[in-house]
Amino acid sequence: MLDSEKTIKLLFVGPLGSGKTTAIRAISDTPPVSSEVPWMEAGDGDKTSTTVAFDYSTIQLNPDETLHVYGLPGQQYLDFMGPIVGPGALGAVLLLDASSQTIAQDCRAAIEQLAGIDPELKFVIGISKSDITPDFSMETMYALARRMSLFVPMFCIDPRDPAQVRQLVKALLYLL
Amino acid sequence: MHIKLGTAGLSEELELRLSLACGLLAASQIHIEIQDWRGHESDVLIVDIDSAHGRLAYEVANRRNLPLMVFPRSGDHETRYASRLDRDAPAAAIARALQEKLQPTPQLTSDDVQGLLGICIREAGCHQDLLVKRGNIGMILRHAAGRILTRSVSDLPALEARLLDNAWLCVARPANDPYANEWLVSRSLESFLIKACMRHQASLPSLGGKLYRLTRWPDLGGVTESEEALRLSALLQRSAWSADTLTQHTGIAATYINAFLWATLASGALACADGSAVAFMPQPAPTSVSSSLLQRVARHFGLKLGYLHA
Repeated sequence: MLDSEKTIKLLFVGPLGSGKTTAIRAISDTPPVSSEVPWMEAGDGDKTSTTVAFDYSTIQLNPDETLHVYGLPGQQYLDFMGPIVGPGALGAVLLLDASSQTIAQDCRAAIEQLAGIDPELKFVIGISKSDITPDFSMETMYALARRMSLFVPMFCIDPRDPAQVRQLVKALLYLL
Repeated sequence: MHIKLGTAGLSEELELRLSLACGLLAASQIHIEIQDWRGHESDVLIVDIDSAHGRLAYEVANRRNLPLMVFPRSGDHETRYASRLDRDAPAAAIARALQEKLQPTPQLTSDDVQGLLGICIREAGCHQDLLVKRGNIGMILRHAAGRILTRSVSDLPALEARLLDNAWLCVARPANDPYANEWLVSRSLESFLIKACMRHQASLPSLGGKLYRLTRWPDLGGVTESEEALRLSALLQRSAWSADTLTQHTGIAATYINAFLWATLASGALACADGSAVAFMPQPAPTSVSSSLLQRVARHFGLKLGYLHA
């Protein structure tokens, strides 16, 4: 079920706590099958669990076709999942956490993870929690994009809002 | 505005269309009196080079340095006439050309745009936090960061509504802002500007025929109401376009496109492509995804077919 390259797939990647599971839940027809476990290092925020393998859900395109949505785990030690699940994907949504002090490094690491799946894989970047991070600056991301010669859509989104997650997917479709 | 317009050598059919065009200009408070030109004083002279009388009038008017518009010979595409009219153009197009001759559109600069929008344009790339306020409505503009801060969510539509109002006060935010805790709502500057400019699209001056190009994708995360902004961004980040050609190519309303250009210009994402300031954008590599599959996925997400690779 997981790794047929003929399957129509969409990937969500990004570091821990960036909102991958939430975003997948927002746009899927079925609730994601998540391998979530209690997060022992959770802080005072709302997040109390984390994904340890991957999220999986589906979007019915038409009666005969299903778009399979995979959320790859954010932990580095689970990077081996990418090359198993990712090949043949339409593209990827890279989610980042605006409140993270290491957002640029997180972004670079996720892009490297995507390149490990397929160097030609198209992706868009969604930045979550920008609305609750008053000091967040897009300048950091624009500077990184210039350094990496990235010309991809970078949108600040709320992963709980289906319209905003769909906006990211639409932007991805414009790249394909 | 009352204008005396002389004509020389025009056919009956051209006279009729010109007369209709002048009638249309009455809506812009331009009242035109058309006279057969016999060398008397006119604000503008229109001649048809196809006729001997028209050619003679052209020579005389040129010697006297009179304002002149020319219907050139059919099939003559040379540009020796400074102001030429298309002899096949409908009355509306002739009216536009006349209006441009009589009331030329001034070259816009950022100083021509007032209010909050003007401040955003003038402060493009500013690394300092600015306090921008008008009465009891205000925001912190963090231009280089691409963010704005407001006191409440309800301030956002109020700010949008006053985008073009005058009398905004703009000062540097104090280093130790005593009201720092009041700025609770953080939003994307670009999403704010796009929504606000759309709201005022009928009032924004035209950006004209200059070529523009996006230096990066604008932050459209909060602009989910229409897909036109996505479509325009996709086109403008690949190559340079003028507002007019974008209108013709996409069929999107000219005022919407103009508003989108103003918003992205004010956010710093758009640059005039006439200069050399625009960074090189590589063309996207061809994708291996089949177009029919792409269309099916696009349809599910509400994108209109045929848009994707426009």
